[in-house]
Amino acid sequence: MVIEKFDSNQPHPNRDTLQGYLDQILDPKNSQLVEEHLGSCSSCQEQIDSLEKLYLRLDTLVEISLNKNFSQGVMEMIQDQKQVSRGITWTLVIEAITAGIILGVILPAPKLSIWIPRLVNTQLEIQIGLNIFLAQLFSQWMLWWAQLKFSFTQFTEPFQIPLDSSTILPTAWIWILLAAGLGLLINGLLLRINFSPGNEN
Amino acid sequence: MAVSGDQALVKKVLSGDLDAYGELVQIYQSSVFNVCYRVLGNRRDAEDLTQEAFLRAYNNLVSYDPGRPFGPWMRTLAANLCYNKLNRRELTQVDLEDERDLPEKDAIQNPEKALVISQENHKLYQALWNLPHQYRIAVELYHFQELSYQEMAQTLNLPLNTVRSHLYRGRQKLAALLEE
Repeated sequence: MVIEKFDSNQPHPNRDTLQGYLDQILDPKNSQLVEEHLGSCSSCQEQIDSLEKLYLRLDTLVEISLNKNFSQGVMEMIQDQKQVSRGITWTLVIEAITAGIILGVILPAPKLSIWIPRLVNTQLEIQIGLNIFLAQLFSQWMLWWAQLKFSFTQFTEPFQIPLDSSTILPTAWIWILLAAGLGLLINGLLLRINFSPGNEN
Repeated sequence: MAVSGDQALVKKVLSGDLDAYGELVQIYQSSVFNVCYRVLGNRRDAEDLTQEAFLRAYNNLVSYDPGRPFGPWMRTLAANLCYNKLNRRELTQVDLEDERDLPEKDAIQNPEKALVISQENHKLYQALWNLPHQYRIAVELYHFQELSYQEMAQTLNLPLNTVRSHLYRGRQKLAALLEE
């Protein structure tokens, strides 16, 4: 660390130099100059004395007793967290598979959509089904986003760590879900176009 | 607890032994709680933060360098959590006078368990809690956690000169408060 060098041209060492002297981080030559100055300057010596006294007093601070055992509470919180995390993983797996099916089957659906009404019979049922599914997907996505946002804040704050693979992976899955949701939306629009009264054969 | 003992426990935790983490919590809970208590100035928040610190430490144990002692890492993490909490002003609203008299109340209510807090000690706590929180955390990290200026700057994510200035002002103010 760079602390301005004290020399005999200055009337007094600055506060960083005095503090550095007390914390014993000055180089030996600088430290000796400060020491010589202190021998002839009562004002600086007073400052040093006051700080030294403070150091000694801080050393005497007695810690307060702890009447609570935290280990059980912490262990319970960790167990809860593990259960939630397991639940999250399974939900993510199921949603990812669903997303894959949606992306692979329904998204390229302009032609497939011609088949769907014959299976389900009415256009209205398809629209209702799609809307429910989209709403569920969207609410899931929002929930996930909120949970991730919470965990990012909670886990990265004290360390300022960058995102790692454990946080990027779920984020990627959320994007897959979002893509799937958009796919559904597009599909829904295409269905609407295909089955608007003018287009229906 | 020796550092090697800590390392062995951390190793066990990383390989899935949750009970080993319970042992670490028991060893360090008191010192971590005292960090939180000195910085936050009330028992309720200090207890909450202690618990939170241990939970976060567990979740981030992979980032812990086993070559260094666990205690200082844990206490620095707790101090940083307290600092963030103070920055966000998320402290519980308590009757400060009541809360800050707590060490003495402990001694009255639990005479066997509680430490007898001398007047001098009480005055020191009061002076610490009357420091602006930026100064208080600097004093905590330097004097109680024995971090270097560089380590403090890194921990608080502040420029070195800012940390140095906070420490200097904190010491000056603390000395003045104690002389009152």
